[in-house]
Amino acid sequence: MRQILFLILLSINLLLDAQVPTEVSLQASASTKVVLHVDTPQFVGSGIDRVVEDFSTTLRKDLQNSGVFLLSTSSLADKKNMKERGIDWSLTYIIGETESGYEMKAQVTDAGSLNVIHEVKYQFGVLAIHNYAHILADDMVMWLTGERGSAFSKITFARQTKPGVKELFQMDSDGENISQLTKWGSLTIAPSVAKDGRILYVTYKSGSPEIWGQKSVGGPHEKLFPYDLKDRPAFCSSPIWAPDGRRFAFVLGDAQGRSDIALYDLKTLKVRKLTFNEGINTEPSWNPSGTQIAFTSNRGGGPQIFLMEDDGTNVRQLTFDGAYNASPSWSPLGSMIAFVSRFEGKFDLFIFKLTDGKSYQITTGVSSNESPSWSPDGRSLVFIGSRSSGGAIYRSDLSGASVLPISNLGLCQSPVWSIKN
Amino acid sequence: MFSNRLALSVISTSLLLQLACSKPTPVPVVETVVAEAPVVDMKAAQEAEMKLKLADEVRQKAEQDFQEAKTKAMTNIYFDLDRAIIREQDKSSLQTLANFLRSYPQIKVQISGHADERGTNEYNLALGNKRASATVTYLKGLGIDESRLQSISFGKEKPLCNESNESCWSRNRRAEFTPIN
Repeated sequence: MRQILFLILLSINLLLDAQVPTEVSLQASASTKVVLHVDTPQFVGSGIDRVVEDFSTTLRKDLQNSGVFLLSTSSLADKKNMKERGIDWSLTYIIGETESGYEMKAQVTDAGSLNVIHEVKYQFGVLAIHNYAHILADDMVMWLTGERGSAFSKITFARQTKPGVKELFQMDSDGENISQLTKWGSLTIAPSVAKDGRILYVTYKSGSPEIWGQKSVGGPHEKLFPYDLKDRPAFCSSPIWAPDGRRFAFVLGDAQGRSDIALYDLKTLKVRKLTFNEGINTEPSWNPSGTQIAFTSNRGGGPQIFLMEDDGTNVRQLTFDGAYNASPSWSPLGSMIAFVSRFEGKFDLFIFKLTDGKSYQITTGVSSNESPSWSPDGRSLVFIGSRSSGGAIYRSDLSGASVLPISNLGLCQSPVWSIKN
Repeated sequence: MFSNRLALSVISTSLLLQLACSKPTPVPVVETVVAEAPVVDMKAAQEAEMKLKLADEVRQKAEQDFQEAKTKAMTNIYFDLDRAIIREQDKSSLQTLANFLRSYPQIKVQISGHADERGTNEYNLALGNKRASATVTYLKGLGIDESRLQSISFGKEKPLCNESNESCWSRNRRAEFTPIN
């Protein structure tokens, strides 16, 4: 019944968002979540209790972060009583050793009918334990909503390693498996990740800002702009892959202090300016189909969010409330734009719903919250919060009710959430 | 003139003959030459040393003057929140920098624009570029060739301080000057 209630509530929200029928509601709350009981995992074999513990911890964290499940804390001796205890689904899984690694079988039982409604089996090596816990969590979300979750995904970010030096890092969506992507020993910032995993960023390794990235999947990091030294601009920043991965938008600055949005085509090596405005135009963000760009401009005075077509036409202002609105990030399904708004020197996260033309405040805190980026499933935002260790990475659901630290690392900036390949 | 030379020659010859007959060894002549030479070189060396010392003092003074002028000229200037306009109180600093660059025409300068924490990373990079560019434009107006002025923006990536108060924010909203030889 609870599942049906969830789907009904979801459907109501979807009907309200008729333009983009699959985006999740901003007003998700505990009452719309399916209550899930996760059985104590069973295991077969000796010495794999640690594996099972790792798997179980990762899975529970993912399910809690999914935004659609509420984990039951009841201990169940008899499954017949599940419904009376408010439980909708029960997840049972068993992990056993195989010749090459491990095998995991999982089953979901409906608490009302006591029928097994979903089951799956995976085999994996010891290094893939966390990945398969993420994959099972995403399966659970898909079985419930019809769309995969974002547990099996990664977050790329810049972090200060010593004064004046920042490098790029990557980690799983739960903060595990941190790896360093660059070691330029210089200011290296503003990462963007293409759908196929290719990275793009700005580094000052030569003394002035240049855009570097990967032309091919798994390929070396190469200088992409300026292609020719004679084209060296006064300034370049904020590169972001277009959804097709064949071009990127970025900010091109001139000696007069103007900053304009431009496109760079990897095939033709041509730069095309899209804005020709006095002042600052920055922070481009593509819509999912790659036909429009949201950006920040101070053309009306203070910074506000604007939209335009990808050829620079049809420029229109999106935000009007507040003196400083910036950092637009277009949602994966296209109907919302996350941004930050400054009040008394601190930033909070907002979401602009294109379907109703209204802004919704997500965070309200004494600390600053910056650089929002959407989870691949569009149900969460990752951002930089200054709550504790100054520049740590947090996630929030779209209601702002559940704000959680992803990592305790400080001195981080510009997180980008992307699928894992 | 000719008779004097002849007389001198005769006297010298007779003296040499007398010496040759009375004392058989001519060594003293050689000794005189060896003994006198170091006296002449010492003076030259002392003079050369004095000149070198003087030159070194002049060089040191010039270097000291350069360093003092450089320190005075490379003084940060500051900006109001979200603005990139040169403030009245900073114009004398830029005049000092322009004078320095005129005095030392071989020097180029990097002008870096910075911002405080109360802006987004990317917007502040653009704002830093605007601040650096405004500073370049002002120095060009004071007659400094653009080829000697190199602008760069660091936005809020390289703060001087990290406290969240106006005192720190105002220090971070700056243009910094670094000489490039």
